[in-house]
Amino acid sequence: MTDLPELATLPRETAPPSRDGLVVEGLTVVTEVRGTPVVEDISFRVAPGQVLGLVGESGSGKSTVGVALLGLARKGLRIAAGRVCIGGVDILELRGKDLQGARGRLVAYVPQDPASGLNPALRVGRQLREAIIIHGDSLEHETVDQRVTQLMEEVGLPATKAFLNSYPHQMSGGQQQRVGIAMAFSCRPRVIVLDEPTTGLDVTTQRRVLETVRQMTVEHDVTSVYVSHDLAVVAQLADQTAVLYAGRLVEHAATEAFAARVTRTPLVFSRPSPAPPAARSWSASKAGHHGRGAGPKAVPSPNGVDPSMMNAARNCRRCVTSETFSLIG
Amino acid sequence: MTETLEVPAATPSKPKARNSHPIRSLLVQRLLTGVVSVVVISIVVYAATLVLPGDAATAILGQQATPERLVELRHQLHLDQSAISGYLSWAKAALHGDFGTSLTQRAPVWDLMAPRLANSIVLIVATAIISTVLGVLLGMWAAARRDSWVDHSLSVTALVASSLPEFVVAVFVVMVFAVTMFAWFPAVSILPEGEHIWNEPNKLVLPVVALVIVVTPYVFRMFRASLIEAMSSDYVEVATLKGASTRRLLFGHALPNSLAATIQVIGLNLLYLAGGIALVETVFQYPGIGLSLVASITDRDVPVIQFLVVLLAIAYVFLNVATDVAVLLVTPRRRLPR
Amino acid sequence: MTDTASPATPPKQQAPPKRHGSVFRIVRGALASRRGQVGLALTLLVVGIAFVGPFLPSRSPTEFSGVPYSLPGNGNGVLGTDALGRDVLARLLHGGWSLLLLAAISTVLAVLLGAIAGVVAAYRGHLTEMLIMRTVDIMLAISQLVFVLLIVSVIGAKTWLVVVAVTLCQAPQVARVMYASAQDICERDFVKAVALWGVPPRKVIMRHIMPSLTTPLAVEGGLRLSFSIILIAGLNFLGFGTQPPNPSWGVMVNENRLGLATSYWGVLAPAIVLAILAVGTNVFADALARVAFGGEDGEDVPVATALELTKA
Repeated sequence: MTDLPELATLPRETAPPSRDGLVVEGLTVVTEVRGTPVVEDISFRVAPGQVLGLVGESGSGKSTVGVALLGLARKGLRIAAGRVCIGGVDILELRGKDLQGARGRLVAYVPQDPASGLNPALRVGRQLREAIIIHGDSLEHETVDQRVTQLMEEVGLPATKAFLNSYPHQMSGGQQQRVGIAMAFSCRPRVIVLDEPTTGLDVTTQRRVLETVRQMTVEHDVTSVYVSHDLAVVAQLADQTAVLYAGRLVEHAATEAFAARVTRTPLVFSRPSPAPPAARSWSASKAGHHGRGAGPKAVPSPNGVDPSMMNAARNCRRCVTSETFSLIG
Repeated sequence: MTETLEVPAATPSKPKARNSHPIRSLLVQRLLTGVVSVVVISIVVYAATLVLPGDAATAILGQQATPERLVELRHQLHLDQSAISGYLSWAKAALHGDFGTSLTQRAPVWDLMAPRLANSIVLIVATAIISTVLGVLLGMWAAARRDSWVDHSLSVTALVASSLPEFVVAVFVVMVFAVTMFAWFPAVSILPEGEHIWNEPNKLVLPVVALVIVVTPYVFRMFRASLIEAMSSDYVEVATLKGASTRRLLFGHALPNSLAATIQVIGLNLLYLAGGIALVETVFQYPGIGLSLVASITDRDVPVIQFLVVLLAIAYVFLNVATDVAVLLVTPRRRLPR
Repeated sequence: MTDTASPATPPKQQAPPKRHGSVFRIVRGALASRRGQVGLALTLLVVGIAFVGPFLPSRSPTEFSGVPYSLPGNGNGVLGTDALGRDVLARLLHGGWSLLLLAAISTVLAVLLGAIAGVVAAYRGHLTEMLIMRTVDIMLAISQLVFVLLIVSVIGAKTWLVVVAVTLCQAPQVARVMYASAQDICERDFVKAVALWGVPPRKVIMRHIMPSLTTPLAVEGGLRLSFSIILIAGLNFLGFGTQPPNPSWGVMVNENRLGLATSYWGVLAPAIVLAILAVGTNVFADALARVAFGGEDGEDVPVATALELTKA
């Protein structure tokens, strides 16, 4: 398990983009009308074959980040700055046909709601073949049908004509979601973004879907970004976890380290826990919105945190939340 | 157009239990309702003659009521029987193809009405085809260029055109194309009795133009709106993220989902045309059943009225059923059970 | 219409149009939009002609003042004479108020009748619901025009009859809309609670259900008014309703048709006035619907609302 350095200590000048994996730097999405930032300065790196869990509460902007990785800004939003490098290509620089060529081929997307993500008027087989047909160059010595059959086997769905000729509404939610996953993997992309794909599924189906994602990520050496609000799910699946709060990335580390802090319900609002030792980035993030520097002038306490700040932070919801997520150590 | 843009032909009902043959059960249900409707309407039409103030026959003949003619008329209208048996005689004769004799023109109703029916059907079909093609093309154009000046001007034009009363549109059409600016087409479409319109097609043009102006906006608006709704759906976003081009999104994804609503609008248009052409036919004196209906009502030509109204009711039932089946065929979600 | 940005979007349910406040508010909102202003201006222009016209100094609308089908000028009036030699301008000024009055009366009656029918059907359910809504379906199956013509053919072309006929053919439309809107309200707990307390159905409907339905009622009322005007004008055109020698815009369009080639003002003037009125009321009704049901820029609100109703 790679132990990625903390955000605050990441050197600001960009390292040359690696051939594989996903590198995101300074991603900023703002509203179109006013320019208010929705997500700001998001940066992270994920190696191939790894799953990054991107967590946050509703409204934290995690879904916005998810689709921005494909160069999409939803209605009323605009990607203002940043780089999304996949395989040496900056997705955010692409336009028109180039962007269409990259979507589905370099980076793919699994939607949140499997039912509405599938076109109700088209047969499932047709929708599975679509991406492959669009990106003809993804086939290697095989026909479209052969690729589809292989995909079905990989996600654990029947590759029969009957199944492929059926319509989305004739399947269960779990099957629909696995079709969505198959569609995303159909052109063997390097990066896959999964937008809360297990919401609304029962626990058993959820587990199966997670297993499928895990397996396909490893098998095809793909970088997966798993967006979710459910920390428990992410804990099972992701190698690394990044936390988004109010549009900013506040933490990013190996999931194992998170698991140690998170017991049952992740979000504890009223009880401030003792500050973790050497909480550098933690106090750095607090410094901002409490208006008091946690710099060198701060009187060191046994816990390593400025006590006055600690008091101010005690009742601050935001600080308490990020406290829960923060780990270090 | 006097009808509204409300799309569903029947009242939205609570969801039914799933059944294994949706097309068949729909057909059966609608046909049953349809037959009941036709019967009810025929009863109402027949009863209308009984409700005429005073004695029906006297009211119809008015001042020409000689005793012999009164008896003759009463017999013809089955008024010499009781209400129920009179209705049954009338219905039985109709089912055998005998629709009575016109009071004003002294000829069998069917002989008089058949060519007029054909003329109206030609008018309706021509209008339907042209307005559908035009509405679909313009709707697609507007949806693809959403919020551009093209879209805005088309939408405003559609709103204005769909507001205008149809006889006003017809009058304007006549003004522009027949009278003042371009005297290309005849201002009226009068034909000799029993003549078919396809023998003088230039008399068909202006009525079709007027009706197309009235009806196309509805197709345009519904198609555009359903395309836009489809394009902002989740599945189109997913397809976009697969790298699909705009063309593929429009034709491959949005279009199949827009068919249902558009078919319903076309069906509604046909329904409207079946009854509402009376006004346009009057302006042009076009020899169709709309004109005949108005004339027969003015003249109190009861057998003709009865025939035309029941015919229209049957046409409505048929159109409703056909529309519902067509919509079902393009909506896999309702056509195929889980 | 789909909120693609929200997480965990629930499946689309069939919901009646959203409400955004009282009638007052939507009227005010409609007036704030350009469409509403244009629509209202056009409507008021024609309404002004209709109701103020009879008081303006002009020639007599029923007496012969010149040679038939004379062009304007030469002492023949501003708009010339009509088929019988009467002054066109005078007939234009006098020919609107009866049309609008009848349309207004029919609309009010139709809205009342339809609203009661629809709400009672939604509230009572079971047999009452089925009876009422099946009748509505059958009545909607007939073209409005044919229905009115049928009634008129039976009893004769009397004015009050036209009002009754137009009311009867507009009411089912109102009933259907109110039925759909009321169904949602009737399911709410507060209605059930009030009914359980023993409040009689009549009061439940009038005091508790109706007030929540004022918005769809207002929008539908606006639509019905514009259709009533068009329908009655059309009937007049066909010769039913206002009888000669009284002037009516619809009648004028018909009776002067033969002079279209020579002196066209007899036809054109009432046609233009009717067109302006129709467009004005429709555009204003559209602006109302936009405010009432909420629509983005460029969205076709009546159609979009109808689309939602079909996604059952």
